[in-house]
Amino acid sequence: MTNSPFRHFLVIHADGRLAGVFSDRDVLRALGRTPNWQAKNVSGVMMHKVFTVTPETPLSVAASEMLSRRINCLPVIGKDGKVCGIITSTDLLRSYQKIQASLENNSCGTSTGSV
Amino acid sequence: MNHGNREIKGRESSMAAPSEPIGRYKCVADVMTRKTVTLSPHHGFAEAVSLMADRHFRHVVVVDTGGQILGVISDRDILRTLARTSNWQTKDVSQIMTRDPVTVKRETPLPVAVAKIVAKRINCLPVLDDEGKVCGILTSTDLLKAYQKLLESLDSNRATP
Repeated sequence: MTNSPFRHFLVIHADGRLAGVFSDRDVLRALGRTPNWQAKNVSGVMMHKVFTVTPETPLSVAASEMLSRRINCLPVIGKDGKVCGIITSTDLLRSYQKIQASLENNSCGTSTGSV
Repeated sequence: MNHGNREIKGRESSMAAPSEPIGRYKCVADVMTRKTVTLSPHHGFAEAVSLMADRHFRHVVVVDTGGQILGVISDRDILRTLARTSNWQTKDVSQIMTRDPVTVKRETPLPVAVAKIVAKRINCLPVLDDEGKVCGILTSTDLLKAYQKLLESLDSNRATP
């Protein structure tokens, strides 16, 4: 995890169903609280109860779930029950950036921006 | 002045500007977290780890005795240190922090702040006042809150035109 730009791993059963999420927070929590962290495996540290969304979930719902649950990643589950992606807070911020740009264009710069 | 001691304060987010249309926050000061957690450079590595493991924040600002910013420690810095150095127990905050962090001002427009966070792949921007002192931090969570408000107001506009 320290060598890659991402912070979340999905843990998947052999049939493609989601078993849990393993995040950098879980690593830190394990390091801070368990003396024998070297002996743990992923399933001993990961979050088992995971909130998920579907590809059709509105962005506002995904954002409010992340905020209220204090998480940064939601696995996306397809109709077949298998994982088809994840959405992270970074993905949402990228879409925020696009919406901000389009709102600014629509308002012709009259109501936004002040330095 | 008592900056040499551990200076750990609570943190609460503040959504200001109630007169603005909901979701149309303009600048950093509208959405930033005003209360920040600070450490001084000589605090130990273990202190930074336990601080973050027990609470819900991921960033600590490192300041000197005059309140000037020296760096930022994120949970990423801690993980990186743990993975790459064998003698991490002996490290102190100044050895693992990110120096010269990207910062913003209170009046920086939100789109500029979002662009910095996305482009630099970071999750926290310390907010500096005119004297260069830390007056808050802007995190990806603060921005996500602002985005969620904006999405909700767009949704309701669509529902009741």
